[in-house]
Amino acid sequence: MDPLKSILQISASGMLAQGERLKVVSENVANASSTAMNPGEDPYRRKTITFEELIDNKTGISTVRVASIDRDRDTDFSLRYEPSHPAADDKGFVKVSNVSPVMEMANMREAARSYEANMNMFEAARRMRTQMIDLLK
Amino acid sequence: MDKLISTSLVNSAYGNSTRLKGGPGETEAAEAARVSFGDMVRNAAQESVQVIRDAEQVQHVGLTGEVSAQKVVEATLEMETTLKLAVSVRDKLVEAYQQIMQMPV
Repeated sequence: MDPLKSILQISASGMLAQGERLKVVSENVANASSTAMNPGEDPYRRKTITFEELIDNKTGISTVRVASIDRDRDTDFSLRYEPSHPAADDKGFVKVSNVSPVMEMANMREAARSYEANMNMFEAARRMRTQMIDLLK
Repeated sequence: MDKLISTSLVNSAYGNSTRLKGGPGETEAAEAARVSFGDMVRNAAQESVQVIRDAEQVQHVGLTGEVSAQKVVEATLEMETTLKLAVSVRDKLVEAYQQIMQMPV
């Protein structure tokens, strides 16, 4: 297969994957203050995303895809004192989600930069291909 | 008189020439073995048309929001490259045709 053409496909898969990652980050940010409705229930648990290599059997090129979107079960929920909340326990504490704004911010920046890197790769391959075709003129 | 060459000699010379590399005999055999230039051009053109049709399809579906914007961009860029290539090849073919037509016979 034309290597320059496969670069387009590979970069496109990278961009799609990073877009998916940014989607997860935005879900976490949007749900940062989502709590449960009843005492004892868990609030929003932050989502995590992992990627894996995907080898195209026909062409042998390695693209990337989302392996799984999971919940972060390792970070604990924090407690906030708010006795009037419907989910407050008998001491007046409410469990709030384990989303950390700083972590989400870093993740967002990394996704954006990675997207940009893939985009530059796409652009470079496209430019090279166009230049090659322009040789015919 | 010795400037005239006998017909049989000419015939045998012609017969020998067909056995040379690149003669009519060679071309026929070669054509049977591999795809002719015309077929190659036709296949390439058909593929190009197919790519462009597919891209148009993706654009239509993209406008209704069923396909991501990235897919539409990819298909459009692919269509642009294919069209560029097709136009360049066509220009080359026309140029070659013109050169043959302008050849002093």
